[in-house]
Amino acid sequence: MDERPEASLVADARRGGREAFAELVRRHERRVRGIALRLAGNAADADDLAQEVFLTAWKAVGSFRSGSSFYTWLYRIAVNTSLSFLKRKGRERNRAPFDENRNAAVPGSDAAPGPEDRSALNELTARIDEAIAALPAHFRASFALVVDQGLSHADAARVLGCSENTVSWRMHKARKLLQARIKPFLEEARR
Amino acid sequence: MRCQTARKRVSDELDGALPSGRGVRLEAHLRTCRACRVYREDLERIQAGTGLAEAPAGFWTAFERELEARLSAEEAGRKRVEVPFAAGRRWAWAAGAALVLAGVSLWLALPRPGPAMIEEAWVAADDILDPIVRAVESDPELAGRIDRELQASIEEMSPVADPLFWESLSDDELRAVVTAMEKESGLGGPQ
Amino acid sequence: MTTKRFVLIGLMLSLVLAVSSAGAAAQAGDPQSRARLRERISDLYLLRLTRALELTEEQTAKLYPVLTRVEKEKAALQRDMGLDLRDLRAELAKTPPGEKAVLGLVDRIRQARRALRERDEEAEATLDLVLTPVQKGRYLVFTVDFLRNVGENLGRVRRGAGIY
Repeated sequence: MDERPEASLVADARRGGREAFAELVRRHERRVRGIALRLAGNAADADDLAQEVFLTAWKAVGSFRSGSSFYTWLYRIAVNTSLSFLKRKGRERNRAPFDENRNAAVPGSDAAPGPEDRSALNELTARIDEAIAALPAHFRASFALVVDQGLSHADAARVLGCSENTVSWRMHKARKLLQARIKPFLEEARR
Repeated sequence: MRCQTARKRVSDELDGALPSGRGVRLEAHLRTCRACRVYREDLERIQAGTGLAEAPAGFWTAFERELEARLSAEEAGRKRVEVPFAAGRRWAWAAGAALVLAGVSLWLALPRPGPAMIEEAWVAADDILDPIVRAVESDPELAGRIDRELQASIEEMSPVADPLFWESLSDDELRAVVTAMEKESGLGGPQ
Repeated sequence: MTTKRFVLIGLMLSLVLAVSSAGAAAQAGDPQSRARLRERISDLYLLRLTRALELTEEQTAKLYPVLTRVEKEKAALQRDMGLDLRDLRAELAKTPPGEKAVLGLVDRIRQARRALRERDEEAEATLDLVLTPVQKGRYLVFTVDFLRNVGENLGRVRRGAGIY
């Protein structure tokens, strides 16, 4: 395991150092795939996207200036690659508008799919995942960075190229939509 | 504090983005507003239920292997810049330095454009372009005319504007063009 | 087929063929290997673009994903368009050409052209958002230079092969 500081690895990678780049991949692969998974919504696409992100980073690392934050740049590529993928798939165009008045299927109803022995917790987790997947892409991107990856609003804003205030509002709106959608499950769980 | 504001602050609080002073006022509101208390509980449950599935065992080894294979395919297109004066290369550099010294007098005797002059020409082009670009941007009609002229000159000048240009090349021609352009770009040769 | 229809088809075909390469059809080789070569061209384009415009890392992080995807989609569209054009030539060579087949192929080729234009516009819109004014000027110059360079290299390759 290469324990060199990241700046040193990046400098080496910029000069064509594949081993250095491989170490950067090892350090960031889980997070990059996590971002892709949240945006693409399925593992197969996320795996391809994660590969694409690192290939793009390899091609573009020559443009990277030392002193900047590598992971901010890498996550920016991850978000843009995933959003570009969604555009290609036309999912955003074909996606039904997120309707906060349309609740997720109530547990126990005929409309609720899933194995019968699924615990209530697993059921809620599944519904939350579904609801997040139905969020508009830019809300989902903010959610992926802040909640999944634990970035601050400021860091997420740097990745997304927007203001901290914008990230704050997107998170608020995303949560409002999620809460409205999953309300029946939350109420069921409270009983 | 209005509920709308309180709910926004609950979201910020979950992300660790709420300034400490505002937390006190938020708590005061939540003590008196059951709906907002329930809202916060709901958001906390959603936050707790959010998570990404772990990749299966062996996944990351396979992921890194696949990426390595794809990077190898890119290798021919990457310039490997050797680190100067790295260990083991000093003798080679010493011999090279001797040759360079021998060639310096010849170089000085034959005036020719060098990289510095090309860079100066590039700076000069910047000086020329800047006022032109500003003039164009301030005159939409002029911008439109220039766009059309440029488009026409591109199409007139080159068959590559033909959408089927690349399809008309044989595999050998395509490969040869790629090789030639890589060499011009200072990249490695074909695999 | 009525004379009017022949004229109509002829007009549509001339529009399509006027913008299609008059050169020899590409030899059918391994499609994957060809796709990789097209990717290399795209990579070279991006590399040279980065150097010519001195793109920052923020700009490359925005541009590379979009431009890479657009080029991949265009390559696929152009490949399919090339195959449709080949089929169209074959159909027209028949006596008589099948009207339904001809119209179908003409329609596909026109749709492909439209799709290619949309992707070019998408790439231009992204560049417009990301580039500074000076970079926009450099981009126009770069585009012309890149295309000219491709043409020159192809000319050298063909002269070397005795085609010219």
